[in-house]
Amino acid sequence: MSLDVAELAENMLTAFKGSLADKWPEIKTYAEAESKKLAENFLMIETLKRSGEINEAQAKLHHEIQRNATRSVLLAIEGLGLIAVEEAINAAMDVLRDTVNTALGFSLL
Amino acid sequence: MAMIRRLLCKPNRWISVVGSCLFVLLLSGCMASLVSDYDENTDRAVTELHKEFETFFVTLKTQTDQPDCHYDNHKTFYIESAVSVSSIEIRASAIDKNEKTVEQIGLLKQSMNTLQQLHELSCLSEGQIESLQSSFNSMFTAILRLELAKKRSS
Repeated sequence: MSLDVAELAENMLTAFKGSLADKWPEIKTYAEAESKKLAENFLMIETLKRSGEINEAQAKLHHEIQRNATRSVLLAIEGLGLIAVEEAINAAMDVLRDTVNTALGFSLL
Repeated sequence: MAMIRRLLCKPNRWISVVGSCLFVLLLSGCMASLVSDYDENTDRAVTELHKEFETFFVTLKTQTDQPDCHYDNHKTFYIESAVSVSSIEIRASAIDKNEKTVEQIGLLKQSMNTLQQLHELSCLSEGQIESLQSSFNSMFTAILRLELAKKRSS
């Protein structure tokens, strides 16, 4: 059996897309839940300021913490995305490995 | 020898074998690794620090409008948690391809300093504690979420 580059590329792409599609809903659910919580907390800080429970200086410090929390969630989403891409690349590499090994007739990769 | 002779007599087959060998050279040891592996110590230390924060917030909630709510009564928490987060940061920094986690821990450390400044200004009200608890929970969840995802992909 010889290597069919077009078929191999197509199979690798299918594996890549499939792996990414598997991971994406999980990341999306997390991003949605955290966005809601962060927005609610932002509103809570504004309410505390308007009611006079905290002053301008305290509100600034609360916002700093809130901003850091938002940034941390975004970093997690970025990291989860990278892991999903990594797994998708490896799924495509598995297809390549299987195809090459089959074409050669022995386990080379 | 006979096999080499047969290959030399068939150029297409020869090209195919050379091409495959190049693939092998190109791909061997080339499994994609974009993010560091899971680190059990980071997971455990962050979980432990989260527990200390939860205890701190729950305790503060019972102390609003009481003399115990003042910063001076909670200095030990700030000192101990600062030591813990520095230790987590050092370990995370020593791990290759761990930039996102290192940055997350840096943000947590920064937020702890800000929390300390807030507490030094005055006792924290119930509303403030709710807000802070929510922010810190988001940060701890984000760090652990990423760390556990590394475990699944390892």
